[in-house]
Amino acid sequence: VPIDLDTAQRLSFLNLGDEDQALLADLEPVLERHADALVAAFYRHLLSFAPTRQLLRDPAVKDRLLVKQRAYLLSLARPTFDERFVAERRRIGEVHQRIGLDPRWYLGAYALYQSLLTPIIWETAAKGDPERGARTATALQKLLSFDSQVAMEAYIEAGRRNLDFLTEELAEQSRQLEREVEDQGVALRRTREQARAAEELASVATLVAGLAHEIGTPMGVIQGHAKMLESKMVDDDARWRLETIRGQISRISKIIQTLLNMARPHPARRVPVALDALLDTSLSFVGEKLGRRRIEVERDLPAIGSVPGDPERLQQLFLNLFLNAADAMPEGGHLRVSLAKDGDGHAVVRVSDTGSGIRPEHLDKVFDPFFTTKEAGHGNGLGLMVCKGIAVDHGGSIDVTSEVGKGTEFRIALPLR
Amino acid sequence: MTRRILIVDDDSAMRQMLEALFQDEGYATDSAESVDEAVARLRESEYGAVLSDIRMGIRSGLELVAELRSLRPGTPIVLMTAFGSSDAETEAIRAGAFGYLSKPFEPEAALLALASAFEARSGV
Repeated sequence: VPIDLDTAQRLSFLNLGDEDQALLADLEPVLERHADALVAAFYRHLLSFAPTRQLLRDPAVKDRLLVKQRAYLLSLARPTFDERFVAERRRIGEVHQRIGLDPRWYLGAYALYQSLLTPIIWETAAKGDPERGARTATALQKLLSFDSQVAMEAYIEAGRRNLDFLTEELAEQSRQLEREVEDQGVALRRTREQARAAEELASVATLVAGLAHEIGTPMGVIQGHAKMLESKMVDDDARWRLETIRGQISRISKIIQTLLNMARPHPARRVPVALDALLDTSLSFVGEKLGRRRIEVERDLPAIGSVPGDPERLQQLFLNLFLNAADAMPEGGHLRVSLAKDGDGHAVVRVSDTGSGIRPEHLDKVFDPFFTTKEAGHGNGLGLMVCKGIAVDHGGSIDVTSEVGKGTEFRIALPLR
Repeated sequence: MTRRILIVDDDSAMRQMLEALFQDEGYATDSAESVDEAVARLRESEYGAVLSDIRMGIRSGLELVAELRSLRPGTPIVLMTAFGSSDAETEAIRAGAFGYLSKPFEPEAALLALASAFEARSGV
């Protein structure tokens, strides 16, 4: 019978050997005769404790247990100590670990069998030979010790494996949590940035509104007087100068009107806006201008659902971008407008041109009020500020990337809900 | 219908300009620098239309709309909203103003607004 080193050592320590096996073999007929009664006594004993009683409520568990106990009792007469034998003994500890029963219950069972079997040994096997009976009882005690040791060690090992597994699981969960916290941090930072941008815009807006109010009245006065003068002017040259004055005042008025539009607290109009259709319509508005400049338009506008928003203001945003793109390509070029969803619940619109591009040192200024690189009189430097205001009002964002001589891309992200 | 209008604004330069502008177009004008003064004028005489600023000192042009309603129910009033605020515009129309001009406005827009007010009135 092949016995592994560990088992050999254990047997040696318990002083459990061939002689014990021979003595235990005497028990075979006794065990067979008493097996049912012993299992019944064991079962009754289990019923008197709440945790074991609880377990035995399941009839399947009960039947399996009784069958196993019977087999175990019979096996006490023929301990082989081979691999399979040890594995079966270990299984007792492993099963207890798996179902979460304390070691006290199976360790108690060994003691119980000891106490049930000892009197039987005295009554039967030891009859006529008390000395041999005593040695048999000792052999049984050693075997039960062996079994309980093996089961206990298996119980502890299985527990350690569970613990290792739980530790690994916990570590993974903690890593996951860390990642989530990090993501949340990024989201929070982004929200804070948006809030700060909105705040800045609000304070600028208040300032602008106040300024526009103060300037509006004197400008109206100048404009009125200039108009009245015009009809009284007979000299053509003087008339032309007056017209220029009026033209310039109109220009200031338009700037103020734009600023006021920015500054006015827009009532949050929120209707579902299908961006694919909106972009398509907006492109058709500037179609003629783009055509005149020989600008090819490429559309990639899948239906990706709608964003809650103000369609007129969103249209203004995109029209501004298209017109800027057209201005950047006076000699013709390629305008690409695409729509997609990102993984963050945003609709992302990209408007890219193959125009002159924006110099790197100007890139972070393009959304500032009055910043323009257009020829004097051709742009008031408010278009992109308006675009940013609209995007931010919608809870979104606008970014720009550009390369001089290659072109510019604006990326607008708007939350889908 | 008399082509006579009452111009109400607390800014004297604006008042003078508007009076001159409308006189040039053949209107007769009076002016007032506050709602109280305007109410006094309206008690004294009848106007074809009123052109009033909203933001003035203590009482706003919106209050003038209410006063005008009880004093001279048929007289249209055009308000000038300095803030260009949609709230003020909505409020003006809701209060019963015939129309509004948002400052800064072109003189032609003021003339057109008042002409429409007269036209509407004669159409009644």
